[in-house]
Amino acid sequence: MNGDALRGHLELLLLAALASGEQHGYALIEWLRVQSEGALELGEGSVYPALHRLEKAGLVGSAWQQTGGRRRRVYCLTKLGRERLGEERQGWASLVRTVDLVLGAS
Amino acid sequence: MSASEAYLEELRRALPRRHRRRVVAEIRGHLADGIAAETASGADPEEAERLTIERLGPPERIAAQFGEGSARRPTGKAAALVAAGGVAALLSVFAVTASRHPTVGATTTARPVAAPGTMVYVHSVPSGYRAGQVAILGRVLVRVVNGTAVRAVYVHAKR
Repeated sequence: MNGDALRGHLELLLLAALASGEQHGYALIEWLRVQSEGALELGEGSVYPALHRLEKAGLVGSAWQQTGGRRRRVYCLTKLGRERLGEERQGWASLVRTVDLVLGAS
Repeated sequence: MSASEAYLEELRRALPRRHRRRVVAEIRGHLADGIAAETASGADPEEAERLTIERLGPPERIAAQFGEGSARRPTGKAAALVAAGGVAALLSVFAVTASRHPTVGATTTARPVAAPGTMVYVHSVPSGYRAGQVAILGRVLVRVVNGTAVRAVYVHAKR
């Protein structure tokens, strides 16, 4: 699946990736790659602007963290982000059901 | 200058001023992590650097995405239908307003406002659709009745 098809969903995927705990950008990309069994071929650089958008919207928070001489920006879900993830999950499920109904009917 | 430094410099120049410091620092960390990971899995340092940069994509493309539309939920009548996590945008759908239900939106948790069979109006219908066909609009499933009118099958209220 290429980056274009994903573009509208990247933010949701990132919220999901952060659901199990705080992560820095590179680790998030790794997580997405593993979870999707390598199917998500996104321009990895797109993850950073998406994280910044999520932060601006109050859905994630971030802070610098120093580990092993390397400084990384670490992201976590805010309460609002967790709520939004729940809503978006439901919304996704309902969209998939709807599309399946239509595809199955034709 | 190493390939990484050249990449970061290009990125710095392309970024809006207020994002430069943080984003360059962040991508610098990404490059270091990527190169370390590639080297650990057997690539020579030059190859590791090349692969990591390639996967990040062109610096201009990253920079262009800063200052672009936010993750905030859109508001307003038309925007409400285009909300839904970018799904609508992805499907390049068209704007809809409800004839008798100005609050029609596309959030998933609220009560339905328009019963099955309610008429709503589509401003434009994609060329592929004909009368009687079903169009998907964000999370709103509508049935096209004629060129401009649609029958709502599944419509939710904006909260």
